[in-house]
Amino acid sequence: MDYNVLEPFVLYRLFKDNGDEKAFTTLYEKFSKGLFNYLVRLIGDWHYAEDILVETFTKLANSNLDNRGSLKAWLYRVATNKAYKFLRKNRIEMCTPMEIVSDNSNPNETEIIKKIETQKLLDRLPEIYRSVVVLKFYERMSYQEIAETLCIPLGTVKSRMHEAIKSLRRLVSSLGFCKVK
Amino acid sequence: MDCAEIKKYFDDYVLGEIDPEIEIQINEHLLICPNCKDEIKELENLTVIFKNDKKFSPPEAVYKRIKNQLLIHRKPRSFTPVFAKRMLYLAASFFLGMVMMRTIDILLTEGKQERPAPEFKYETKSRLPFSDTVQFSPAPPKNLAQI
Repeated sequence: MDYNVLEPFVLYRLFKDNGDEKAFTTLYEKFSKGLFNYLVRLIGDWHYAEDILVETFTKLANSNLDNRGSLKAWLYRVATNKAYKFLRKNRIEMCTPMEIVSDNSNPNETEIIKKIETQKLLDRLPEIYRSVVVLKFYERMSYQEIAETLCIPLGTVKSRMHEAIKSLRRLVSSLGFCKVK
Repeated sequence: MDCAEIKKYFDDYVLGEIDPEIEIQINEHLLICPNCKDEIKELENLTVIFKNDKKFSPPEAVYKRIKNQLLIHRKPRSFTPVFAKRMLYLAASFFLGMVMMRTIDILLTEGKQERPAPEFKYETKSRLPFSDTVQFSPAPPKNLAQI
């Protein structure tokens, strides 16, 4: 049986009902990358993003979900709540830590600078705007999907997105960012 | 639509969340308005910064941590009340089945009349009266080969 073609919820039930570890691994492989990137961008800290990712998938394994709604949206919702909680407790200075760019790959200097710059932009946005921006730009979600994921009305997603873009434009001009041409 | 009205939709236009009817009007407007065209270009550049940005991947150790967490949370399979209940039902149904089979057996045997036990006549062979004399058959000659 090819697990990659199965629906996320079918995989989840296989894991819950039969204890199928391969199904859980497939779920992890499907969602962990996007979720981790979202968390790193949202909280600006690689290590805490790892912790929240572990907590989110552990919660998935220990929960008993029904097939209402999307599993992906559930994962992002749980991760967002944990990230907001973390940000509320640890009002850390969002100064774009260097560890954020210490990826496994060896990016060249320009790439590192670009990464820092984009993260700088994100860090200066309020969290509620940041989550919408990351979901839109990095996860390529539609407004409807963002609304479902964050449990907010569609109109709120639109207004947050417009405000976020307005702020980003201001930041880009004030920080003198290199524009992609 | 004039510039001020059309600018309200610029974000949605760049993000691909625009209604096709309005999109046509914006496209037409952009053909004739250089100021709006520049603004759209600026917005597109902004989104490209993020869209081209590399995605972070979680290290392999993260999955190991999740697996460890799951092992901690996993409870050993115990003799649950549901399992006990099932076993009880199984035993009860087996016992009931045995009782029913025995009852049917008794009912069937009671209905039949008792037959007289068949008499077996053993025809015993007439024995030779006891005698001290034993008849022996003659032994074959020893030098049978020479004969």
